[in-house]
Order: sequence, then structure tokens, then C-alpha cells
Amino acid sequence: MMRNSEQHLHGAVAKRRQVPENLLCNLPMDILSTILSLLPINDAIRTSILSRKLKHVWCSHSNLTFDKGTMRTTYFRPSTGYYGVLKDKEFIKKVDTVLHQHSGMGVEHMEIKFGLHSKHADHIDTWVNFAIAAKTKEFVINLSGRAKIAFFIVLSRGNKWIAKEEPYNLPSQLFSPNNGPYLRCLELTTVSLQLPSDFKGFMNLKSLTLVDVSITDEDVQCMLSKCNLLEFFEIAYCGMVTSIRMLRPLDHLKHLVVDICRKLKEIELNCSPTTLKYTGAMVPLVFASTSRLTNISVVFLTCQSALSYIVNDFPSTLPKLKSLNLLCYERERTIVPEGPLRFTYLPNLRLELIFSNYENRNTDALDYAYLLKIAPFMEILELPMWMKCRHRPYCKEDGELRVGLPHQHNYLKFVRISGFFGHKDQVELALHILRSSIMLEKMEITPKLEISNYLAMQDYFYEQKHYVDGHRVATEFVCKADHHNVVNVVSVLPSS
Amino acid sequence: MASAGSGDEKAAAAAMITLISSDNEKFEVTEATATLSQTIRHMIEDGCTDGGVPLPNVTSKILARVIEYCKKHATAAAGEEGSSSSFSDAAFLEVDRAFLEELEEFDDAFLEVDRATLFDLILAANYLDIKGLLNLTCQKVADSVKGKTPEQIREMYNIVNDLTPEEEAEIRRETQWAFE
Repeated sequence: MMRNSEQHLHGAVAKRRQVPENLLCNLPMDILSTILSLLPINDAIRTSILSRKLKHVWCSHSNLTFDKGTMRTTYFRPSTGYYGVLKDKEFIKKVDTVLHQHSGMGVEHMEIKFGLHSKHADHIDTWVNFAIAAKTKEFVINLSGRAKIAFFIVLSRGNKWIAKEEPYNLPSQLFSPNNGPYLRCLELTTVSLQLPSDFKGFMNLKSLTLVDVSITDEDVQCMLSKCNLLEFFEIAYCGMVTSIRMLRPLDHLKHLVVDICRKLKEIELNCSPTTLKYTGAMVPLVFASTSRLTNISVVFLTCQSALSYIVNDFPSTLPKLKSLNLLCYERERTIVPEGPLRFTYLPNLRLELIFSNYENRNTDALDYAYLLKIAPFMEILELPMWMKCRHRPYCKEDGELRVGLPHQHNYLKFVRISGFFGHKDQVELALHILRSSIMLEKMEITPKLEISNYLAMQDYFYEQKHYVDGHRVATEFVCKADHHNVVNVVSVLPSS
Repeated sequence: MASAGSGDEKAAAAAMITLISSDNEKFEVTEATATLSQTIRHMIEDGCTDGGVPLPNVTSKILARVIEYCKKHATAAAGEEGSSSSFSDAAFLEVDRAFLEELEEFDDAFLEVDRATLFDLILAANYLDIKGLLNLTCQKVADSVKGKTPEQIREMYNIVNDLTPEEEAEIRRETQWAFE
């Protein structure tokens, strides 16, 4: 505030003293164009009325984003006192006018984000052709008209995603050979895609994202095989895809994201990725090599014991793995055999456990004491849990607390257990980790649910009872055994 | 981060570059700092930096500021190479976040200049081809225009409206919605 008023004063004096200098208009055209490209297109267009020099500068805007914000789809109508919602016709008309006036050159980024479908194909086709002619480097076309999380919420509960309208079918010109060299990044949402038989690939494409795209296994395979520089590939909510397979080497592919493709049965890629994110049912994940993987995040939506998965199905060589995030719905207890060390390097482990049979739970959190054995170099351990079962906070009448087999862990420094509702096996696991880890600096325990991806229930469901009990049990039974003052029980303040 | 910094200094002892401003002031900088400028990078690659690099378009006042920016961001660039950020890596993210916050604070403070200096910095960044600095300074100008009416912008930058009423009416007609 101080600065502003000072500047204001200063400016006023300076203005009178010097000959008014037209700083902005004296800038070279390319800088003016750079400045306007940093503005949303609607703000940039407004500068056309400032002066003759600025009249056409916006026409070389290099960052064209057409969405509800820039095309003003919701605006206040004083006559009704309500916010009007822009209709698709209005949106289309605006985009048409802007592209008609634009120079059609040097577009870095073009993005269309609005709920449209096959009925609007004539217009969208001309926009796609504009993007091709403008040698656009990053092209985003998202015709779903809703947030990505909407797909996740429906599909993660096992429901089918039902589209109301026939999706827009991308024109074959997009895949023509002359479009190849410019495109670096392509992101498609809620469209239908059929590759023409003469598709030669996008030779410089580095990033490809397909969300809710009607695409066949063959076209996924063809896309992967012909975009040789691809580094990032994401495929999400593509209901037709049953297999993501490419046996020819994909030398550049480093990052793979696969998010709920309902019919997916297998992933087999001849590549050596560094990061992997997978959400969906448990399917075989096969790569040429796992030796470069540094980050893995896997969310299984079907019931699967995390321990059994780690021991039996996980790649056995992960020499560079820095961070593993695994979420599992636990329903059956696994008796884990004595196996070899799984993670010879891994410093960070986040294991999200949803214990999901309500009555007669036979799963046992204390089984996860085994983690200390299979990850001997772990430094940070996060255990978000969700006891989706009958609430039963531990009390003395439930019997003596069991003690896990003694084991010494020499590296673990930080532990966070969340969703601690005070079940007996939760207490036992916390105590086991506390006693075993000789380097422990901090152990945080909170009853708050911290399961990621919106999979858990809302807080208010648990605030009254579970959060209160969890806090009490942790304070009573875990803090008592804390001889080095490392335990911190975090209480949750009610949200309302 | 500390180790990246000291490594940088060690390498610097070997390669120093002299930059000469338009008013003939000399600035000694490390090669890592200087090469944030693509223009200077190319000169170094072509081996024509002996005896100093004359920068006839940049005054000593502006060059000092540009170097200040480059010094800070050269350490940042070195740091980025060392730590590969990752998506669920609490400890690494913590370090990265703290460092990025510090850099952001630096940038904010750096932009606390009067308008004439800001525009000189833009021109210097453009001439020296320092992408980050050009973006930062242009963003500041863009932000000052954002959401303003044409009248407000004209006043702010002393822009004389030399459009005829007919031209103005035509523009407004074509893209009416952008002016609402």
C-alpha cells in the first residue's frame, strides 16, 4: 500500500517534469507481442483499441486459450441479476472471430476447452486446421466441458461413464505428414480418434495425453510406435482400451500415467521409464527394464493386499527407486513368506491402506511391521490408513497388546500415520515402528483421514467419534512408550 | 544446495568474463552467470570474449541489475540439475519448495523498480536474450494492463489515441464481448 501511494505520487510528479514518454508504444513490435501473449486473449484483444500501433499486435498472440474464462461464458446480466451462462453457439462465434483476425502464425500454445461434440464438427474442424496451419507447438483440445476429477469420481466407484452426446471426431488432417514436425505436445479430451492408414507419426512429439478418448488398442499402439521422441504418455478414462502394448523399443519414454481404463487387461511396453503412475484394477505391468524407475505411484481400486503385491508381483529390481506410493483396498490377510529384500535403496515409502470389510475384519495392520524388513534403507514412511470397518478403539479389556518380532531399523527418521482411529492393530503397528527404529526423529500420528484421490469419506463423518477416540488412544498407549520424545499426536479441530 | 553453490564457485575461478557497459564500466562475472544470456553464450562459444564483452546497448546501472538477476538464477539452474523433483517425494519437495519460494521472493523484490527502469530491463533482457528475465519483466507489464479498461491503460502509459472514431467503432463491433 505504502509503495503504491508513493509510486503514485512519484509518478504524478515525474509526469509533469519530463516530457510524457510513451514507454509502452516505443517498445519494438516483437516485445509488445511477447507482453500481449502473456495476457489472456480477451485482455490482449482489448489493447487493440489503444492506438494505431497497438491495433494489430494482439493478432500475433502466441498463447491462445479459449475457455469459459477468456471467452466470458459466464457474465453478470444486470437486467436479470443473474450470471448468464454462455451457450455453445456464442462460444463458437467468439472463437471463430478471434481466429479469423489472428495472423495464423507462430502459435506456441493453443487450447480449446469447452463442452462441445460431433454436432459442432464443422467449426472445430476449422480450428484444428488453424492450429495445423499456425504450426502450433502445444495443442490442447478438451471438449468434455467438465473437470477431470468428475471422470475419476464416477469411474473409481466402478460405474460406467456415459457420454450424453456423440464425441467429436478428429479430422484426418491433424495426422497428416506435414503437420508432423511442429507438434511437441498434444492433449486430447473427450474426442474420438481414428488414425489414417498413412499416419507417419509426429516426429517431434514429446508429450501425449489422451483423456476419455475413443481410441482402439491398435491406434494406441500405432501412436506409440510412430512418435519416436515421446517422453511423456498419459492415457486416462479411455473405455475402449484393453491393452497398452508396444514391443518395439520406446527409448525416450520416461513418464507413464495410466488412469482408470475400465477394460484394460495388460500393459507391456518395451521401455525403461523413470516415473510411473497407475490407477485401476490390478493388471500386469511389464516393462523392458525397471532399473531407471525413481518414482512409482500405484492405486489399486480392486481388493488387493499391498504386502502380497509388493512381495509377489512387484518388479524385483528397482535400484533407483526413490519414492513409492501404493494404495490398496485390504480385504484378505496375507501370510507373507520370508522373501529377499525388496527395496535395497528406497528412502521414501507412502503406503495407503484401506481396510475395507466392515464386519469381522480379518486383516491385520501389524502385518505391515514387515515393511521395516523389506525396506531397510527407508528414511520416510507415510501410512495413511482408512479403517473402513466397525469402529473399535482399543481398551484394556481387548487383551494385551501384541509385540511384533523384534527388528532393528537403522535409517527410519520420519513416520506419519494418519487415519489413526485407535484400533488395536494400529496401536501395535505404531509401537512396533517406534521400538524398532533407533534413528527415529519424529513420529506423527493423526486420526485425520489423508487418503488421496478423494477416495475417502468426508471428515464430518468421523469428527464426532473416530477422530476423538483415535487421538485419545494414541495419547494413552503410544505416547506412554515414547522414551525419546519423538511422538507427536496431532488432533483434528472440527471443521464447523 | 550449498554444495551446488560451492561447486559453482570453484568452476568460476577458472572462467571469468568481463562485461563492459555502454558507459565503459567493467563487470567481472563467472561464466555460469554470463551464459544465462544466450547472446553472451554464443560469443563465448565463438571464442570472442577476450578483452571483455562490450554491451553498447546497456548502461552500467541496468547491467548491474541484470547481473544481479543472473547470479541468483545461475545458482538456481545449478540446483535444478542436482535435484530431480518428483511427485510424492516429501523430503525433496520440501527442499525444492523452500528454494523456489526464495527465488520467487527475489524476483518480486527485483521487480520493485520504477517504470523507466523496468522498460530498460526489458530492452536489456531482449538484447542479451535472457529468457527468464524477459519473461519476468514482460509479465510485470502484462499484469499492469490486465483487467484494465482501455482508458485506464492509456492514462497509465501516456498512450495517445490516434485511431479515428470510425476505426474505433469497427474494432469494438468486431470483438464487442472482449470489451464488456
